[in-house]
Parts: sequence; C-alpha cells; structure tokens
Amino acid sequence: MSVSTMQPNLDQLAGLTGVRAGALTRWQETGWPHSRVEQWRFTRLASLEKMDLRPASAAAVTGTAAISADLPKNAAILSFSNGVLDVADLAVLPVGVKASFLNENDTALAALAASVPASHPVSDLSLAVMTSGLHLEIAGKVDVPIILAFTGDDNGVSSHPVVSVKLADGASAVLAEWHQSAVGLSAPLMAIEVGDKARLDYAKVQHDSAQSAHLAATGLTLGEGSVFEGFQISVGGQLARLETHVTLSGENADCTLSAIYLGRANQHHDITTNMSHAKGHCLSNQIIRGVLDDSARGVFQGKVHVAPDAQKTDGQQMSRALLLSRKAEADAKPELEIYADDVLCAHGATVGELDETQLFYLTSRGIDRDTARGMLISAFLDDAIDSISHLGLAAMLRPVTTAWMTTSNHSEAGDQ
Amino acid sequence: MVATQETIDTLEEVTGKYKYGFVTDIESDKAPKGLNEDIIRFISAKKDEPQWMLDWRLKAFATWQKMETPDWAKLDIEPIDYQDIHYYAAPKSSEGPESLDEVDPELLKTYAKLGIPLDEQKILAGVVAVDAVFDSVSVATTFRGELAKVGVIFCPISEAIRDYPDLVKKYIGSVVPVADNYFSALNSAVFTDGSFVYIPKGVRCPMELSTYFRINEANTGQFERTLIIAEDEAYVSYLEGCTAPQRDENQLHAAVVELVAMDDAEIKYSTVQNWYPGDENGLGGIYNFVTKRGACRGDRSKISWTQVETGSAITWKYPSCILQGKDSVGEFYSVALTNNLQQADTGTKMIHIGEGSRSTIISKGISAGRSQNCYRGLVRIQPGAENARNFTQCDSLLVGDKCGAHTVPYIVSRNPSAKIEHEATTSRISEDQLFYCQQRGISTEDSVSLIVNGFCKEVMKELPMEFAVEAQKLIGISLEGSVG
Repeated sequence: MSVSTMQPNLDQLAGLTGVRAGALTRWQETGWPHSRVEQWRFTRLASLEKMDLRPASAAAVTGTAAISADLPKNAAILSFSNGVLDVADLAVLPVGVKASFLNENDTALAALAASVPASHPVSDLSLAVMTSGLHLEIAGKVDVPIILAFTGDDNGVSSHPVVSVKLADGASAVLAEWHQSAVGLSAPLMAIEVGDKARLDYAKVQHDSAQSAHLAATGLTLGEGSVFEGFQISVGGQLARLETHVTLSGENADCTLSAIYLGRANQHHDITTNMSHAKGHCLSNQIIRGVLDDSARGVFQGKVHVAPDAQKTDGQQMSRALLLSRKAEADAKPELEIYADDVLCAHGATVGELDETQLFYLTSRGIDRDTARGMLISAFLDDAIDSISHLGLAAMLRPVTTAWMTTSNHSEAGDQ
Repeated sequence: MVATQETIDTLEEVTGKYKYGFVTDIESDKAPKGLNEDIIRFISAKKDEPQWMLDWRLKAFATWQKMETPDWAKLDIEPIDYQDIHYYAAPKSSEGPESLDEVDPELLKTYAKLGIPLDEQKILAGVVAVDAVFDSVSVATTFRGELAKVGVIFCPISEAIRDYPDLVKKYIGSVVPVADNYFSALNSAVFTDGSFVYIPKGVRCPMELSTYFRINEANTGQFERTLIIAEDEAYVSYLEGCTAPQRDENQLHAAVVELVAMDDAEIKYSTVQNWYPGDENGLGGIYNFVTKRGACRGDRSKISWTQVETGSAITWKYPSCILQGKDSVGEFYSVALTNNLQQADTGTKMIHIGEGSRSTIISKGISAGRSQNCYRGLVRIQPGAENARNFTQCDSLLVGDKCGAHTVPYIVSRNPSAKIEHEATTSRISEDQLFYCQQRGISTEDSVSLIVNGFCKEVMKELPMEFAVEAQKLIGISLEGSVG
C-alpha cells in the first residue's frame, strides 16, 4: 500500500490518545485508497498522493476571507479559516445552541467517530489531525440559520475541520455549510444527530477554488419521527467528493438528501450517499442532477440499504446527468441492498444530452439556440432545487446554479 | 390402489423435490484428482488434440496460477480446493460412438429420464438438434447429417479442434481472453467438452440447436467450452440445459461460452440452468462460475441472451455483449430465482462501441427462503458510440422476510448523444394480489406461482416454446413451501 507523501506532521501528533490515536493508526495502515477499492472505483486519488501537503494548524494570516454567498440575513456565521475556528464567532450563536470543543472530550469524539463513515480515509485522517473540533448542542426551536463558513488561502496545506451537531428530541434548526477555500485539500468531517421528532433543514455548497481537492465525509443519524431535509451543491474544486452516510435509526423518520453537481474544464465531482434504513416505516428520497461540460466528469454512487426488520420502508432515488460536451463523462452506480420483504424501493438513473425536440420547440418560437439551451438546463436543475422547502436556504442555493449558468459557455463550439 | 407413474411424478413435483438428483450407475474413466501440467497433458491426450491446443492450455494454466480468486461479488463462498477435483471423467464406453446404436444404453436412459430424447426417430423431424455432454465428454449429437446439408457445423468442440482447427484457432479466446478472469483462465486450461456451432453466410439454421449438460460423477468439475459463430446474415437459436445429481458435496462448474456475430447475423442463446441447488440447509449444490460473452462484430448484428436461473448453490454469471458493429443490438433477459440458502450474483455487461448500438436489459430477481439474489450489471458507452441507446429494468421480488435482494448497476457514459435509462424496483407479493386470487378459489401456492409468473412474463416470452413451459414449471417448483 503506497502511503501518500501527504503524511500528517507526526511530531505534532505525538501523544495522541483514545479515539484520535486509533484513527491515526488506521490511517497509517491504509492511507489513501488504491484504485482497486470498490468504493473509489470512479474517483481516483492518485493526484492527491503526489501533492505535498501539510495539515494546517493555524488560521490564515490574512484573516478570514469574505465569502460571496447570499446568506440568509439573520444567519449566525461561524468562520473556519484553514479549518481553524474563529472562536470569537461563538458569541453570535442564538439562544438554544450550546457550543463546546471536541478535542478534549473523548466521549463526544467517540460518538462522532461512530456516526461518520467508518474505515474511511477522510474520517480517519481528519479525526487524527483535526485542529478545531466543534460540538454544537441544539435544543428547542431555533429559527436563526447557523452557517458554517469555510475559507482558506494556502494551497500547500490541508484543512480538517471537524464538527458535530446534535439536535435534542423535538428541536428544530437550520444549518448550512459554505465552503470557499483555496487550500490544497479540504477534508471536512461532519456528524449530525437529529433527535426524536426533531427537524433539521440543511444545505451544503462546495465552492472551493479551481485547484483544490475537496473530500467530505458526513455522518447523519435520524431518530424516531425526525425530519431531515438536505441539499448539496458541488460546483468548485478540481476534485470533489461529497460522501454522506445516513442511518435512519428510529421509525417514521423522513430523510431527503438531494444534490446537484456542475462540472466544467477538467473538474471531477463525486456525490456518494449511503442511505441505511435500520428501522421500519421510514422514508428516504434523493434527487440528483448533474450537468457536465468540457472534459468534466461526474460520479453518483448511491446505496440504499434496508435492514431485515425495516419493514414498510419507502426508499426512492433518481439520478440524472446531462452531458453538454463530447469529452464529458458521467458515471452512476445506484445500488439497492434489501433484506426486508415488505418494502418499496426504487432507483432510476439516466444519462443523455439535451433533447433535440425540446430545443427545436424553443428555437421555432424565435428563441436563439444558446438561450434555449440555457432554459432547458435551468429547468433540468430546477426540478431538484424546487424541492427545497426552507426559503432562506433556497435563496442561498439558487444563485449558485444561476451564476454557474451565466458563466457557462452555452455555445456548442465544444460539441464539434 | 397402486399409484400410477403420473401420480408419482405429480407428487414429486408438488413436494418440490429436485427431480434430476439421481445418479447414473456407469463405469467411468477418470483422471486422478488434482490440477497440474500432467493433468492438462492427460486431458489433451484423451481428446487427441493437436500440439497448438495443448500449448494454449498450458499457457492458460500458467496464467491462472498467477491470478487471484475474485471477491467482489456478493457471495459467501467456502474456499475451493482446486486439487481435490477430478478434472476429467468420462463414461468408459463412450469413446467415439459412430452412431446412436453404439452409445451405452444406460446413457440413453439417463437422457430419456431427463426428458432429452436422443433418438432422432422419436422427435418430430426438424425440431431440436441435441449435443449431450455427460461429465467431460459429449456422448451424442443428433441431426448432424441434416444440419450438414445446409452447411451448419454442430459438433462437440473436441471434435472441432481436430476437424476445423482453423476456425477454432481463429475464434477461441477471441471474445473471452484467457486472462479475462480467474475462472476463464481455469476453464481455458482444463476445458473438456462443449459445443461448436458454425453457421455459414446467409444460412438460417433450420432447427433449434441444443446442448444438454449433465454432471454425473462425484468429486468432478465440469468445464465446458462453447463457441458459436454466425457469419454474415446467418441466424441460429441455441438452447442450453443443465442438471446434476443430488450430493452433499459442492461441485464446481466453470464454463466459457463465446459467441461471434458478423454483419446482419443473429444469435439467440437461451439457458435454463437447473444445477442441483443444495438442500434446504444449504448442504451440497453446484458452484456455477460462468463467463458468457458475445461479440457483435458485424454491422446490424444481434445477440440475445435469455436465462432462467433456478439451480446452483452459487451462481456467478454475467452473459455480456460487446457491441462493436454499427447499429448492433444486445439483449439480456433474465429470471433468477433463489430459495433456501442459494446465492446468485448475476447480470450482464453491455459495452457500446459501435455507432447506433442499442441494448435492452430486463432482469427479474426473485428471492425466497434465506437466499441472496443480486443483480450486477454494467452499461458502458465508449466515446465512439454515437447515438447509442440503453434501457435497463431490474425488478426484485422478495418472498419471505429472511432473504435479500440487491441491485448493483454500473453506468459509464462517455458520449453525450447516448441515452441511458436505468430503473429498478423492489417489492413483495402484495396481500391484495394474493387475496384477489384466493377469493377466486386459487390456493396460496398456486397464487404465488401465478403472480411470480406474471412478474417474469417479459423474460419468459423470449424463451423458445419448449423451454418456456419447462421454465414456468421450474419456477413453480422452486418456490414450493416458500410461503405460509
């Protein structure tokens, strides 16, 4: 097993104990996955292995860079620079949200480690080298959206923010991650636990710089009767993988986890989800849309797992990719693994280009071809975005796709 | 009153016993257990093979030794001891029978019992020509004269190696290379018999061709090799059936089937796989590791795979199409049924290379008992496959709450003009459907059989008529005792 040159600074890590020491050992044994590991079949990390990166240990000297998001007006923003939390921001947290640090709390760390994807390179590495481990406890109804804003400026470092969020039973909250870093590698590790009858509206935007790699691992646990409505957009970075593992651990939980990826130039976007129905009577729904231009490549891997006792499960998944250029590639691997008999599970996947008949329809009405293409692409994406019910988050996400569209080269020059 | 044979048969059918579990008591000629270069030389000598074939086998053996057993399938397999198997077993009397009269009557009886008539007189003329493979040798091939009149070659592959070396040399290993996978390399080293079919240009094969594989000897493996070539504008429909005795030990079956279709040619390949599946506790049964692949080399060529998989303890099988020709067509229709502790990991690969190539995949998985049933498939569109089209539908049905149904499709598209659609569903037989049937006086078991047959209809209708009836019965039998 070749281990990357991107070795964590071992001196800095001397004396690690407990959960983090275990994670470090696992990382040292396995390193980045090689090309024959099934889960990484479509996303190769060879380029990452060649990079000489140091895990960041301090915030960027230039201070927190501004992010260019249309954030909800009343939002409470927690800033991370190079993966390091600006502690002063904790003062803005609304009533009902309690913050603490993970680094010194092995019990909280163990809970986090149990929730995030297991034996995963990002989980293990980020746990081991994490700089700011933040834990948020949310109780009651919190209307103020909490935004985690990630920036960074050093392409020689990797950033490893680790955040765990726990919604108490019956709580409700709005949480968003906005990533706009220019570091070599962003490897955020998130663990979210939604208590019984709690509700979380969640969004993530991956808008890192064009040279960055972004490897995210998120673990999500849903309690009985809870509701999770999540949406992810991957638009930045050179190589990006947004991996989310969901466990529906109580009955009647309802999980929506949709995503859009937008690729151009030689970008590589990977959306990987693992939806595990551990208990019966739960609902999961995923709508995935991808648009790929130039030589971009898009990957969607989605697994729906239904445990033996999870009867009356309803698991739905639909992924569609649109190829705008001759050199673009779309890969999909939707997977069903079902051990209960009274379930309704379905997945669908399509890959294709814009419908020539629809284009003709629009151009025959005097709309020029480029505009017509733009309209069709935007309609294709709206299909997914329209499902977001939190207006503040929808207002934050919509401009991301619009901006991508307006800077897109809709002309068909690349087609020939 | 003494029960009539009919009553006994019906009883056997409804009790869901494996009907083909008997052993034919016949003296046989076996190679010693184990796998090494000498065994390969022994097989080659037994088959009276030319030097080039032996060299090819030895090279394959060297390749196999360097390979590792694949572990990516969703199968739980006890390690196989490749040295504990007889790689060659043949009924003693069967060496080169000139006509059916010289075939051991015991063998003829065996095939009659299996429902495979080898006596041409007894078959309505021009229905099905049969190549009967018993352990490691082909014991009879019917209607060869009739077929020769139109230029169709239908014979055991061991004979083809001697009589048509140029054809065999040209095509063997050209669709499934030796090093394609662990089991194809093993098969290339030790294959014993199978069928060879050559349909010359412009010929529509006048009858269905069929090979019936029977494993009889204990502790043997069967390694069949089939090669079918359809020249320009040729057409052939080929059927394959398989059974084995009921034993407590697992037996290995590792086959390689290669199909080649040239311009405007069409090959239809149907399988009803009914190897012994093991008992209700998972004891015994055949390990079925099969590499089946067709190359649509010519423009507008078509290869269609239809399979009904009800047997085997373990099934590892992915009949595939390489769609090289312009506007070539690949089809895969499959029903895989698992019960008790059976495990099946089966599906297809459609590799689109040619412009305008089209493929259709219809897969129906039915799991009952404590079995695991997995569909695994790949649709790959290469950059040159302009306007390629794929439609995939995988449905799974679960009968009982101890089994598993899995779907693992891979989709890779590298051409924007290609259109790929995949859909999959998993559900169970609904109470409403059962109630509807039952209130009309249909018993629970018959209702299940009816609903399951409806679920499989799209695949069943692709089977040649003789097989369709057989397959429907098989599905009914395999599901016995799985409900209630």
